[in-house]
Amino acid sequence: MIAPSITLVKADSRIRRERILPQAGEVVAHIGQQVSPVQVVARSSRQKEYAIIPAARILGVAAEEVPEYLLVEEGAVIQREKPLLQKSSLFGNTIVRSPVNGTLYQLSQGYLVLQQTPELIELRAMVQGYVTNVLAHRGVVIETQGAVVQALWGSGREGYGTLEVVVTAGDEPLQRDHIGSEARGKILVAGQLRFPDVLEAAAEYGVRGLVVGSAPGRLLPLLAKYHFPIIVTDGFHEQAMASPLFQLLQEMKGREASIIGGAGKGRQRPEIIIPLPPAAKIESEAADSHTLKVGQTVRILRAPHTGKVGKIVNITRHPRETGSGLRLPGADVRLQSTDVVFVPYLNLDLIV
Amino acid sequence: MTTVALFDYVAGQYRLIGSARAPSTAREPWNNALVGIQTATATVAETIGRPLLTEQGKLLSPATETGIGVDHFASTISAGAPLRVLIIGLLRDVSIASARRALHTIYAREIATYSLGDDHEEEERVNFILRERPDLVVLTGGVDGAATQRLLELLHTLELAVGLLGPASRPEVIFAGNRTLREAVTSSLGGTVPVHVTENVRPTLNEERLASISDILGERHTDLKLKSLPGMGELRAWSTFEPVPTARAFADMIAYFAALHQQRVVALDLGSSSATMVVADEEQTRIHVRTDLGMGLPLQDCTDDASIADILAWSPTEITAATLLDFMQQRALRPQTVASTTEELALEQAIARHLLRSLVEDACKAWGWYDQGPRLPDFRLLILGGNTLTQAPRLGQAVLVAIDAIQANGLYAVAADTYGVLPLLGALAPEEPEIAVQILEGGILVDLGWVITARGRADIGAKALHVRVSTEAGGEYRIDGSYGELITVPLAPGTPARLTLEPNRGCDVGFGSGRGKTIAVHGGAVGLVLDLRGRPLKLPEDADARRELLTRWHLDMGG
Repeated sequence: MIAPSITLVKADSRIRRERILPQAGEVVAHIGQQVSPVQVVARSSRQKEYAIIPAARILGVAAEEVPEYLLVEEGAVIQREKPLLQKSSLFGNTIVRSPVNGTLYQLSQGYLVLQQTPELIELRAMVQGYVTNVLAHRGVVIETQGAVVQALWGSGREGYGTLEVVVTAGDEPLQRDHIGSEARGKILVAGQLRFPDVLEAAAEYGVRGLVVGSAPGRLLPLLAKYHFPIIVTDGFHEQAMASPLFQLLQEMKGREASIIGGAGKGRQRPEIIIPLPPAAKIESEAADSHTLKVGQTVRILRAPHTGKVGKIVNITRHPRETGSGLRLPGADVRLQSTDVVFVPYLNLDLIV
Repeated sequence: MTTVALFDYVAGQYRLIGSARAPSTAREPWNNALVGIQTATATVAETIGRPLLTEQGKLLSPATETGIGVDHFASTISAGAPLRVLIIGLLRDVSIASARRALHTIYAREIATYSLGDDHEEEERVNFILRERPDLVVLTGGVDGAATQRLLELLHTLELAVGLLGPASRPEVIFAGNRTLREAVTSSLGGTVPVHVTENVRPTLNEERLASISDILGERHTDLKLKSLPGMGELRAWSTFEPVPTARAFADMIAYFAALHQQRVVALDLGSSSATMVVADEEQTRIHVRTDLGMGLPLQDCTDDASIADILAWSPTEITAATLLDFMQQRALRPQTVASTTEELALEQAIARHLLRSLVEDACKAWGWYDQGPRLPDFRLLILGGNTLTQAPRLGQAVLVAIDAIQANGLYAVAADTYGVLPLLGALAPEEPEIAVQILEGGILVDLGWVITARGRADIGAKALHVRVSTEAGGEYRIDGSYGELITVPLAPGTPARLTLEPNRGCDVGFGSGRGKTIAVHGGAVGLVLDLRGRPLKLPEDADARRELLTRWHLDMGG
């Protein structure tokens, strides 16, 4: 029994995904409802930062005396610059004005707490499908049929658009001249992202997302700043997109696709979902088992064969020596070049 | 990684029968810690030819007379997100420093510290709490009986912030400050959030009490983080004893070795999601856990210029900063993978040196053993844990990484927890101490040998030390060591020997300048290591010369 890393790369699959608010709110979709990517399924309000005014200190009075100088009531809606407190004395008139738009949330121990007008959060379905479950106050489960490709890293943004493969091979980098006015509304697929100038072009021409096999690790903080989603499927060092992923995305060219997941560490794995018309034969999304078997397609995760794809021809229970001197159990993998190489199973990613 | 070990009663005593490792599966795509445990258990079962699981993957328990299944199941946990903690206190060098020391005994991450003298405005502090939503706030400050006004001001900030948070987002609070304020704290916060009152960490300026707060921190970590880990419900159903945090269980075992040998023991455990240093002597056990140092996901955040420069300095192969960053990002997101080329292995060991060095420096600062660098007190045993060290293809590599990171003086034995079972015995020991002791006495660590370091103010190449090695079998040989050298001398595992150390004038091997001694040692997988490179280690500025030197040291330790 060997539990390898697993990546879903499926052409026809039943896909279920939870869509969850970052905080409790109102679910506005219902079970059985058909949803489009743009449709709002739940909403909530995100509290902006509070403004806190040390009223007692400013007025030079004890905390319990502050209410005497208050010009508005707790809960009152206030505009920026509205006078909140006034104190007259021999030395003049002290007026404290609101620094924000919002409400006077509370007066606590000599401090005024102003709640700024909250920001509305709308959670969109992002995937075309049906609502199969409602998670009270949190979100929904959406089910769809279609293709799914899981990635390694995501910038944390989500989006949808028409899938466009702009290169002819999985190792071809995205170039500036791949992006023009025809890229508007598209999710662009390329083998690699090497040149940062393509990002500005993508933003300028209204690209809805980028899917690349690899990107330089040093660019990740930059990628996270763009408003459209960017996902990396394979790695961070001039690595080609693995052939099963590239081929599937090529087959799906021109279809509507969604990019979801990838927000932060340990969150949902980033992926591309491409809803398709119902097919005669639908595979289960889940991996059949967690065990490596002869005949399975695998991707190699570490040097000297990083990113190469092949099929398992033999599984060895007994450890064998690797190039580093480590002795580990693993599998013989026949690469597309027909070479057979031994790979520790810890370095295999099962493509299902 | 997940380690499963089977212990059984064989030939009159409990022994380790088998162990196996499998990738941990608490995260995507499995989201169930039990899958990794089942995988490793199945491997143990297959290796020893004894069924341990049902076909459905459930644990066979209790054991039958024919030896199928097990009687007890104990586990330790290091997976899961660390506890996110905000420290609020009065003085950074007093109560806050103590609270921080306590915090480093568990898997926690300090998200911020607010003290009286900092530059943060009230509004900023409140909004930070609202935005970051810590799991726990440690409120401390003031010696017992001191004035309370300043701490009350900080208490008010906290009260204001937690009152503004929704009920599901409110942190728990540990109060470990001036006992005069206990009632005020519980009455102002107790109606809003769970408040845990513990002993003041600094009842007087000269006294520090960490036991009580450390225990509560451990409990809160277990309740708030471990119990919600995916798969924990099933894991606890398997378990005879409550799962415990790995770092704590590991430290308990190091304390056992310190008591057994009546000597100070140092341990370094470099895991995927954390790094732990333990120093135990007969009086005290110090634990320092860093959840931002690890060979897995924490590497994503270890990309500052200073860290990259330090790792590059330890790399024996030429590599650019960009390539190193790519490697670290990949390693972070694929933590279960292993190096299959010598280049990648060397790179991982360079990263390990940097992480362990950061751990040692930080721990020594926290423990007051720092003066322009770590100043560890003398110790006689160094124990290594974690796959990067204990699973190195040649154990000389593990010793070299550890001694480069720790850069201690004197002489000490080195052993490795190669089977990864020390924490498991730590979990077992409170419930079944006799079994744990029997297993430990059966020899659970792999002896690597002895390290003898010498320092002095002489030029590289000048004679430093003469060593006479006498084995019980009658063998005797002599070694002359010069400053700058790293020498390994084979001495088979378990072989007792006497070393007569004769340092030259000005050379100190731990007994004073020019003073020698005869000591009893035993052999190990690496043998005797004479480290005459000086302290602190100085790497050449020139990149080619540095890489050449690193390669030479690597070869000196057996390649």
